[in-house]
Amino acid sequence: MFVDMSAAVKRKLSDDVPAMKKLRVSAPETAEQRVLEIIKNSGNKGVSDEDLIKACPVLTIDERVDVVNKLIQNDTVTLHKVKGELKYKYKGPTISSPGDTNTEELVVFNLIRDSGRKGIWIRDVRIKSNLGLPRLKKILKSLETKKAIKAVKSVAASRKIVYMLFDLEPDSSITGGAWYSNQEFESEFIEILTKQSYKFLEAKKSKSLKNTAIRSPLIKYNTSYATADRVLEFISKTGISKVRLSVEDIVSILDLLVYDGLAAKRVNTEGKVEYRSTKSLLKRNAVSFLPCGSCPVIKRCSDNNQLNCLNCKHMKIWTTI
Amino acid sequence: MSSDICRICTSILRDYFGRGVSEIAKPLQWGQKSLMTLTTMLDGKYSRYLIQETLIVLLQFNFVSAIYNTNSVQIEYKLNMDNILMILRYPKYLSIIKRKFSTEYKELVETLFLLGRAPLSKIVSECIKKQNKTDDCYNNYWEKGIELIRNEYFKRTATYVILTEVNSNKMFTPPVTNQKDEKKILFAPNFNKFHQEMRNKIIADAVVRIFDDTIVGEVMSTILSQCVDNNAPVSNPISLQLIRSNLSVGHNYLLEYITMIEEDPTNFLCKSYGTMCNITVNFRQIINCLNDSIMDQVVSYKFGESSARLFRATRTNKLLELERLQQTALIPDRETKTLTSELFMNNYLQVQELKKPNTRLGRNDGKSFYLYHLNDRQLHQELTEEVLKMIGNCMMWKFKTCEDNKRLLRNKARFDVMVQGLQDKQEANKDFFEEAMDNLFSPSERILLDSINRLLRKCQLNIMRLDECLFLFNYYRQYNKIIK
Repeated sequence: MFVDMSAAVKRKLSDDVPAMKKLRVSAPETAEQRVLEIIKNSGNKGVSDEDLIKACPVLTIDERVDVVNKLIQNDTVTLHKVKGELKYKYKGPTISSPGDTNTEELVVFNLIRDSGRKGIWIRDVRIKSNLGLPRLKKILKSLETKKAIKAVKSVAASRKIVYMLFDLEPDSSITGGAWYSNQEFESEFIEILTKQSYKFLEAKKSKSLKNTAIRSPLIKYNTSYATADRVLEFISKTGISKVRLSVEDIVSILDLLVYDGLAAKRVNTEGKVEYRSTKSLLKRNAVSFLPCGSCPVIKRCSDNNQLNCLNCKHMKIWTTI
Repeated sequence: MSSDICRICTSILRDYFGRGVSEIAKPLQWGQKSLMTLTTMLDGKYSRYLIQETLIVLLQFNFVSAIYNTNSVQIEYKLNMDNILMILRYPKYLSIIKRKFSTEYKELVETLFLLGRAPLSKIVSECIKKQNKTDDCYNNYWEKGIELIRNEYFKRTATYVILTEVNSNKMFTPPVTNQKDEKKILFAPNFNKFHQEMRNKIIADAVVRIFDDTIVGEVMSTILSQCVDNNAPVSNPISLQLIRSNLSVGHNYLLEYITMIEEDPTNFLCKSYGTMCNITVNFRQIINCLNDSIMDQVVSYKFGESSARLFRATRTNKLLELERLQQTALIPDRETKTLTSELFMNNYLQVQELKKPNTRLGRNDGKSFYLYHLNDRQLHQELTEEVLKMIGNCMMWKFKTCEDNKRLLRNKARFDVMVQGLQDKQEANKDFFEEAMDNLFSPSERILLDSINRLLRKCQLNIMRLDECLFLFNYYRQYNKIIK
């Protein structure tokens, strides 16, 4: 009976061995990895020291301190104070700082890195890093020469220079998108695009109206509308733009046509926005036939005033007989 | 009441009735007055009898209303400026009648415009007399007059000799030929009907412009002709069958045409989907669209295309910050600032300041937001004033030209009367008139006469065009319930 029992125990143990091995294989190999895993899983909430003790009871205090310090030094984990309690949070994949940087350079580099594609203004860097301006300028210059960061001019203000990581592409709010080239607003380019888009809409409308194969007026009307995708296709084919335009860019150009009173906009049954060339509702502009229509002092024009229609030289020209 | 309206009314009364009537009516522009007050005010200039006669004439045309003042226990006279302004539209009313009916109908309406209010028999006899036709035409004209009453272009009106109220049921009931009291039934032009026709024409034209299709215009006209005019923002429901029975073209695709107008972003029509397909017209929406169109045209002409773009962008987006406005209209930053400030200074744009609340430290170091928007009502008021001023200026130049060339124009008028008389009698041919013209007027005078006529026509044409703006502004006020 005893033998049987021991055999059973042995068998059980021998059965369990591969399972343990599997567990060992899947489990983190080092204490550092194990701690990092716990902090990573906590997400944005973070992990307190007590949570770490509970999760890794095997680690001694010294081992735990070493591991955490190492992670903080590696810049993988950050320390936050949440409701009076210190918590560790995972920082995510980090871009390595240039090798030979000192502490001050690292602080500035981190601030610039955190700003992402939008960049950071020198004033904000100075306030956040608490460094003096001459020192900060030196640091920025040094980082620029190391090709770790770059300075980009913002379209919002010509004098405003923002810093961002060297490899990053600046955000459209900084460059101004397709409508800016070297911080210069491309009015002519927009005008050409607007004209071409209107030309396309006009052609589409006249084509659908002249189409004798279709008799139904409703189908003719619906086919006279065009989506931004179609307009983009046409613009791309013409090769006017050297910049690669997005659908959003064309939407803003078509919206301009709506604001110019040259196109109408509607949402179709599929929920897509469509455009169609249109005319003004009224044929004549009544005020354009008289010089008073554009007179800047019409409010002061009165018969009792020296400024009256009989003394007005524009009216005299208009009524010359 | 603005001084511009008063100025125009004086000019109209002077052109229509003469200087005396306009001078007598002038004090009434600033409030209703009794005959006694009016006589005192015009003492030394005009006799009491002449003032009385003038008031009778103005009452006849409904340009003045008699109001019983309970406080001072006397009759006071009030000037109806809106009715006087309608004289500007008389050529338009006549062209509507001519287009819809024929010249004879137009002659009848013209006669009634000259009489103010009159029984049908008088209108017909005066019309025959004016057109130099024989009495045989009387019955023909009478029938046409009856048709005009049935079509609601003439309406029964009260007489001031014996104060009588017109029963609303009998407003458009025609008189019988040999009725005993026929002469007591007075008729006046029904301006509401004329305005309805004008409005419908403008709307139909707008629809044609939107769809580039005249049949859609026909469909819209047919729908509009079936609407009951009660100044409601949305019309009465009109059944598809009724439209189909009144439509002359496009029967096969009627529903498609209606769907087209309904689905267009302008939203002129609404269709109910049920067993009975009913259509309603969004009058308020239509009038607002037309008014927006006028405003866009004005801004575009006055400030340029870029300003018009900013103006439309602000209207579409309601409240916009300058930076956002620049991004929307894609106009360079500096130009946007200049144009918006120009529009703001001329009251075309308004600015709403949104302040950040004060901080705990007690100082407001936060940024304020400046949001651009439109004030439609204020803008309408100002544009109305401007249009009135323009009409006044045109009238002033018309008057000045006539005054400066008074002698020449009088001679020309005499000559025209003589020519007309001879033409009627068929006593002379065309060559004779040309020879007479050569003898009576020197070549320079003839050139001058041509130029004067051109200028007067130009002024008149522009007055009519500007009046169309006023007409739409009035409708805007009516549909948006703005009190003057």
